[in-house]
Amino acid sequence: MRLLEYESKEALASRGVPVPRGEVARTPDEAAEITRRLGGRAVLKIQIPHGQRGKAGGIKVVGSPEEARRVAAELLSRTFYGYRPESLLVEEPIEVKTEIYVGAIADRNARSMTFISTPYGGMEVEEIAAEHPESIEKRSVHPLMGMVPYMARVLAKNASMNAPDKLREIQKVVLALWDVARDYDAMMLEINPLAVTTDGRVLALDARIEVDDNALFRHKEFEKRYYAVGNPREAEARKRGIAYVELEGNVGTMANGAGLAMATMDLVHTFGGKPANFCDVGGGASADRVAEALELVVSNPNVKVVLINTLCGITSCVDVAEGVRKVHERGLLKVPVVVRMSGNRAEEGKRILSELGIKATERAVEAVKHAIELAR
Amino acid sequence: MAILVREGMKVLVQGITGRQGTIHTKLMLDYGTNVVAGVTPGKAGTEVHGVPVFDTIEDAVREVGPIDASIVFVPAPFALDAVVEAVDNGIPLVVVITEGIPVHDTAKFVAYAKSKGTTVIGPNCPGIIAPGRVKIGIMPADAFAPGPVGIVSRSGTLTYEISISLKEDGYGSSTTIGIGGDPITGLNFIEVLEMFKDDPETKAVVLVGEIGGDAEERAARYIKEIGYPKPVVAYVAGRTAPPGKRMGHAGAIITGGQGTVESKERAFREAGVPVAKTPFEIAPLLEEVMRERGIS
Repeated sequence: MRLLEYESKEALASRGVPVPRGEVARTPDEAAEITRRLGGRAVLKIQIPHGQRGKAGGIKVVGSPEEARRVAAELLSRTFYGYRPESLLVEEPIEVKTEIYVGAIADRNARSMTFISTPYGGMEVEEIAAEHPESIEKRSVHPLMGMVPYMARVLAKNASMNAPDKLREIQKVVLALWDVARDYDAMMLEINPLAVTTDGRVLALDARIEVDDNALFRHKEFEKRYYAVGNPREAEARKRGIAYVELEGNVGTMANGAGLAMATMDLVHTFGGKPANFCDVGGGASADRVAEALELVVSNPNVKVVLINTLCGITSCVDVAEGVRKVHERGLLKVPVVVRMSGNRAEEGKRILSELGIKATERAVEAVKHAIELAR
Repeated sequence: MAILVREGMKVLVQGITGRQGTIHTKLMLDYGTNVVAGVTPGKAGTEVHGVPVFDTIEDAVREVGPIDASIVFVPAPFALDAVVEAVDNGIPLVVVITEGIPVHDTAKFVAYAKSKGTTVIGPNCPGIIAPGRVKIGIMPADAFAPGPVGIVSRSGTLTYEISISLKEDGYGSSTTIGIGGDPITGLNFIEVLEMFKDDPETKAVVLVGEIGGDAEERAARYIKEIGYPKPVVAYVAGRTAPPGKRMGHAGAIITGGQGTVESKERAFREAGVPVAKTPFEIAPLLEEVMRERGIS
């Protein structure tokens, strides 16, 4: 999950990275009060888990507490990239001399965190890589060694090309960035830009941290918001531990196993239909779990037909069928259901489904084609 | 010879008394896998389907002798500990079935295992099977038949689907490995392709990828660069996945325009690897490339 800017900055500051003075405001009055404390001028930044806030008008400079109140009221009432900001970060305005980039990502190929630095900050790192490929320095950190000072120095040396007198400060920032990556289970994190100010300070002007969803059990402070983000059905699925992602189509899909669930959506697409969602009910699912997942899929108003694709090994086809029966008995099956059922106890599962008037086939492609016809 | 596993090798189950551990101990025993011991702290002295349970791997080794492979079912928060315990006891192969392990933990135990010469398969994987001989995993036995095809895959159920369709067309497997759906895994495609290359029993390879990362692109480049001597057929899942959303597997996510099916399929085609549009097209493509190369 992506932390908000202020959460990211709190994490960085707690490990010794200097950040601008500022506080979080949840109301226009708070924004005005913080602006007053900062000396009457401030930058108001919406707090949403999305980048490019400035482009959408979510970052404003204000020259007085009154202006802060007015602008804050406006920002807090608008929607940006589908998010309604619940808070603003109100910060001292910074005069920037040089913008730098330092970041790190969980690198599949290196099987470790790879750190990246460049003396060009303030743009998306992909853009920097395209425009100044030669400016990028990369170093993979051995997971059991952690960031070692020489490596931080190499990265800082590269980043400080336009501010060579700041080498030591930037090296400290890189070392601290590793501490944050490790302590917050970051999949990705960046300080962009890391600014050298006209008055000679090194400050993290903007920061982003993506915490590993799998590690939330040891970061309880972020768990609550994790379950609240996104479309209500996706949020509900996350709470229940079901992998569910919504798309734009009308063929609801459900499968056991993430790979099979993706392949099922792809099959719908290949044969001319439009999948409405990805849904992996997981391995060894019980009837209740199948019912929960199916209820989610049919609660999407765009769904005209549901395609259930189960290849049962550990999972029992009987449990899948019983799950469908539960949803049927609750009166929630208002659209046709097409089932592909194969493997462990498939014959018994099919018998249960036939009692509900649902015909199941062993053949995935047959089921897919049938579902697409019904959706038309 | 299969790769990484052999008939009769001594297997230990970590987390043997849990629900999954218990079920799959039974299923592995039924398959003929030589499961000699299990570990669950606090459950020493009990048995699971006739397999003795110990508090620690050291106790197990003292009782049953050196272990050849371990399969890990322990919950995600304890997986790092379990793998390190296996490595410290000199177990050369560790199969991590557990899903949901933090990536920093995986990075640590994978690096540690590597430094001590232990091979890790997974995490978040179905395991490894040499059909008809040995299964260290959770795959349904009847989906797999012995034969000449090496299968390497990032997913579980989808691999069973593909294996069943190959079996129906008369193709069995020498070894099938699920390398796992997480961003960081103990084995990657290239490492497994290397092993299949040197395995006389494997005559062709089926590679099952999915969206996210660039492991498929790297595998394609490797196949092209070394002039991989055996035919390879690829399939990549996730064509319809929207960007920025994690598709069940922690590693299955398109970020910053990277990790799309299109990019992976292009890389395979450039490497001369035929790409199946659906899982059911793999068998006919395999037949074609094997016929072209005069392999039966």
